[in-house]
Amino acid sequence: MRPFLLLSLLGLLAIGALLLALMVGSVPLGPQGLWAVLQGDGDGLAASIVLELRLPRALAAFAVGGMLALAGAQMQVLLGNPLADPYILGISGGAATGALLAMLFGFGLLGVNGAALLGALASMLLVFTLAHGSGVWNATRLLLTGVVVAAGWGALISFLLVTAPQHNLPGMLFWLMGDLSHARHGIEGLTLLLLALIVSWPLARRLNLLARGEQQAAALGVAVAPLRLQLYLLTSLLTAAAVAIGGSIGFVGLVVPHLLRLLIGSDHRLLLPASVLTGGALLLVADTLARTLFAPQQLPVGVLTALIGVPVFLYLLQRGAKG
Amino acid sequence: MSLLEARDIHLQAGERLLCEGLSLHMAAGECWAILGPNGSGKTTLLHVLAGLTAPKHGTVSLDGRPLAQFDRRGIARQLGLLLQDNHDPFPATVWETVLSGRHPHLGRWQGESPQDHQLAQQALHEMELEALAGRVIQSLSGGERRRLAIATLLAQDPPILLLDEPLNHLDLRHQRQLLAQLGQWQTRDKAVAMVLHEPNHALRYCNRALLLHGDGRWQAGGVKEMLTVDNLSELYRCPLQQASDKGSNWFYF
Repeated sequence: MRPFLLLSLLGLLAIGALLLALMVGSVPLGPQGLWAVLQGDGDGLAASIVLELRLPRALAAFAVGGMLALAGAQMQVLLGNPLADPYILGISGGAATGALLAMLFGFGLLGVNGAALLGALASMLLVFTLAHGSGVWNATRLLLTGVVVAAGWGALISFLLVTAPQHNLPGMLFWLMGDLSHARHGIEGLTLLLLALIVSWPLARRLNLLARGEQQAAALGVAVAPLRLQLYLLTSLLTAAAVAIGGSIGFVGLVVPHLLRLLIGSDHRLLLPASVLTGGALLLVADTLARTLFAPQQLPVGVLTALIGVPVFLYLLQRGAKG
Repeated sequence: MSLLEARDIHLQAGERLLCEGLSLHMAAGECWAILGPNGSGKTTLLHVLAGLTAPKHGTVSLDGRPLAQFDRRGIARQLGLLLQDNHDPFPATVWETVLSGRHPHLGRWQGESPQDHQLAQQALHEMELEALAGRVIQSLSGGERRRLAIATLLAQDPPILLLDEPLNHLDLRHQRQLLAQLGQWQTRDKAVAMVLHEPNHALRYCNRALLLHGDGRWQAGGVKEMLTVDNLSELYRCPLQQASDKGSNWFYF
């Protein structure tokens, strides 16, 4: 009963965040106005703002937040480290390099997203091949390979930033901080998120065991190597998709699963769906704030997730240290 | 009938040969003590027997079939392993942990049944951990964590139990309880093998002994024939004495 109750509450929270995102903005709508639009009989301006601007952006925000949180929860188990985040193995660095190159060459939005996806997948293959090279596939080796590759991408990104022409810089920086103002592909993102959750959920009990160490998991009947591979592919694809849609938005993938572990424990059968709902809702709220706080100036949503995430996380750590 | 059989196993640490041509039959009702100096390959042997590490040479069979023919879940239903150490980087409760022992018995889409809950409850009871069921592992003491790991093994309930230094961190009362419990496992037709550092425990509570010298040599047999002053003094490279009290032998240095 308790898990069901918790997921229902988080579901309600997510719906609340969605409604809020649809109502607030430069043209504020009350609940009645929103209801009218959703019924199909609101006035033309309100309808086009809600249906063409706010709804696609809100769906994209939820999808990206959910994907990052799900990937983060799994990445933490894959690396046996509760402080791992989805970007730690260099996926976002590869994506960023791809995206910045596409911007330098003057590609449009679709080209930038596509280049980000390609960069992420290239980085995933590179890390996988290098870490797998000698046939030993342990968490430490994967982590070190990923971190070093990520550092390499970091150097490339800095190089691109200092050599880029002035007029390209704001767009590039926004992308690097994570920005949903041009985000599209919410429906595709949500579909991928749902598929990933359906594929991951049957792994959840095995994740519980892998979280207690490779040998303990194997001793209790988990085939560790295939599970690791599945996790690596899942986290990489989720992260690649999330980054391609919204840029490298920080903190969601680290804070949401970690926070939930402190609050509801580490049973991944509950933790995975809870991460999806919380991550989605958190990013949706953050993005709503990002576009309204200093309107008409839009903030990159990554700034907001960090501003929300840091104090919440520190508070929880303090509380955890006392209790 | 032999539940677990090792044939012509070589154990190595890097290039160093620890144990050469080891052959072993473990049958139901047997309790093996594995003794040897530090670094003689006791843990490595348990991991090889449990299929966590492939031996450089030789085969291990479970119920007459080579381990390679089983999947991990199949092995875990037959054979449980208590690791020497547990690392728990993630918070989990005592109850969640002991329940994880039921994993190999559950299908992919299956949740734990009331019977699984009952077995986990029973395991907590036997290890005197019931009062701590809601606690987070990280808040437990070393001995309590050790008992939790043993409770998880009890919940797993396999016919073959391999225990790596099961008495680590336990206070004297719990050491005695655990060793006494081994007797019950034997009568339940289980086969037990455990790494011990105290020959007197082996002599009291086990009926078979395996001595690993760490230089390739090994000896296996009945516990009374194996555990002699000469054998043990040579095994540990440490002169031991023997005393007799009420017809039983004690070793000391």
